[in-house]
Amino acid sequence: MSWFRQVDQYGLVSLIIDSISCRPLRALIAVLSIAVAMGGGMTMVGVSESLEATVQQGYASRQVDLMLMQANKSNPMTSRISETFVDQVRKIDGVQGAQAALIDSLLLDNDSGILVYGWPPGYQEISYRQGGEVIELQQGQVLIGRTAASLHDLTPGKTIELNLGDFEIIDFFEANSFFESGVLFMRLDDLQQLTSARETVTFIFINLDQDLTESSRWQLMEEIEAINPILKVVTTEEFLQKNQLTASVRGLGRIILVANALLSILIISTIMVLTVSERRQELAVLRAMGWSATRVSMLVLLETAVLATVAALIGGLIGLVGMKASLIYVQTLGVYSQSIVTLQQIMWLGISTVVIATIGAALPIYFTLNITTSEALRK
Amino acid sequence: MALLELQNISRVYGGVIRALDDVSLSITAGETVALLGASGSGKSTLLNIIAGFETPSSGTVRVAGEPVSTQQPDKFHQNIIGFLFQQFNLLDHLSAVRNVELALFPTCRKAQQRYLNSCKLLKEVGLGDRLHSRAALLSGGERQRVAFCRSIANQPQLLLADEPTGNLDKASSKKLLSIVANYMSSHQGTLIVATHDDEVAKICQRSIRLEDGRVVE
Ligand SMILES: Nc1ncnc2c1ncn2[C@@H]1O[C@H](COP(=O)(O)OP(=O)(O)OP(=O)(O)O)[C@@H](O)[C@H]1O
Ligand SMILES: [Mg+2]
Repeated sequence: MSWFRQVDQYGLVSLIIDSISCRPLRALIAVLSIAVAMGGGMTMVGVSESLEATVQQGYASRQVDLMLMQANKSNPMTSRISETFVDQVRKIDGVQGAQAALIDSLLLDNDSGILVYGWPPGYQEISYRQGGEVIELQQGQVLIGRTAASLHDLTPGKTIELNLGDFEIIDFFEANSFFESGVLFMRLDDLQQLTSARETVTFIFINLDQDLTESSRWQLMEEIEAINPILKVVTTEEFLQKNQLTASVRGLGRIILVANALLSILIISTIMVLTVSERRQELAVLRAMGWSATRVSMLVLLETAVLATVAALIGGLIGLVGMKASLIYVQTLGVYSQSIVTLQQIMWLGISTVVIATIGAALPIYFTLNITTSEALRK
Repeated sequence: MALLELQNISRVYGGVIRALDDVSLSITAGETVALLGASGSGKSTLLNIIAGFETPSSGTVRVAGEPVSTQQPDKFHQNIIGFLFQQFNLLDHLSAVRNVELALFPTCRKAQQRYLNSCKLLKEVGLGDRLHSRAALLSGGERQRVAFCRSIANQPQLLLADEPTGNLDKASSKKLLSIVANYMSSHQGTLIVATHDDEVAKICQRSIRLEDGRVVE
């Protein structure tokens, strides 16, 4: 331990370690409560960020610029517009391509719900490779994402019942986003028939020419909406912002994060106030021996910072586990997501935890140092 | 010159309770003084004011000619005043040696030095085998000896003690008093000790009696 003595010549570190380890129960309660508060916040923020990023990936990989849907629909999944708008959109100058898709959730084997995408003929999402050849899906055939397959215990070759119609699983669908690997793909006409939505689609995905200026983009959007008053066009970013699922999870995540921050301050302050009579005597004794107010505060704040740092590490682990568990749970509801949280985000969360905890400790100290020594030492 | 000089000190609580009423006295360096008086006569209040733990309602306290009110309080407590409490006021969760070290923190930067000094002091009062015991586990007499080491760790000019034997049995009191008396004679220390205990008064050269906040002899 001589190296430690060398580093800690002034002895502050060993005093703090001593001071913490001599009151293990108090330290444990403080560490656990801060860790749980941080872990909970991290879980919620992690889940919301992950869902958002995963959904975004899907659109980015398809290079969708605009989404056309039914106006006045708060939940975009309930949007229903006529298939015939696709041709009209394609004719507009500046539009590179447009694809219609119907999205609906169907009853799988009379048991659980599954999200199904219906794509029109010629679209790569409903084609598969066999012996080097690209073959398009026939009626009555579906492709399955790998996550959906493992979740519902399905493999290519099996026959499934969807809304009372029989379908053969032809192959896996190699989704380019995790979100879509939880989905079933079929021909648009099949899906329209199954859901009695003849010539109807949910969205039209639009790709634009790359070299458009900002103003001509706006003009283009107006032009598209002018096709029919029932239509509304939004940018992909806007769509994702409005997407109820990601938006509500994000909102909830933020609320819980703030609530957690307040809760941690409250918890720390409570712990400090609960021990304040003991602590008050202790701090007053130090003052009586000529410790300056700064030195006394430093001792207590450093002590809390050490506890909070340990708590942040544990909280980070709780957060990671909580996030994984929540995402697995969300999957059973039919939404698929990877956990996408950066090390940087975790670090920031950890640092804020330590800061918040230290503020929580600072308040009672402030009040303790404000009374006279003789008052503090009177039993 | 007097080490300590009180001039017309009064302390009034809540506008009505006159804990100290126009106290003036002077104590020279090397004197040991017993502060006597009935319960509620103002002994603790007087010691607290001398120690700078509270401020008088009126009057001036001078140490070595300097008014206490103009001194830097942290330096004053580090170098000039040592204080022994009736309730020991140790940090119960820390070891004996840690408690003494705490007093040396503001005055000595080297952890090693603080530790060695503290051990030496504790050995001198017969606690060499209890260095690393938690204060909470020590007997009252042992605790007060730890507290004594802490109070003299920085070699204060003035040692104040408020009923230091008030919570001790006869044997422990006797042991503590012989330690204090020894220290005072070998260091020419100045001591003011508030007490009801005749044994304590016996080790002092002089006594001052308070009655209802006034000095009567
Ligand atoms: N903070 C305070 N607020 C109000 N009254 C106080 C306060 N401190 C002391 N007093 C009063 O001042 C008077 C002197 O109290 P002090 O504690 O100095 O007496 P004492 O001589 O030390 O008594 P004892 O021998 O019982 O310790 C008492 O009447 C007490 O009630
Ligand atoms: Mg008293």
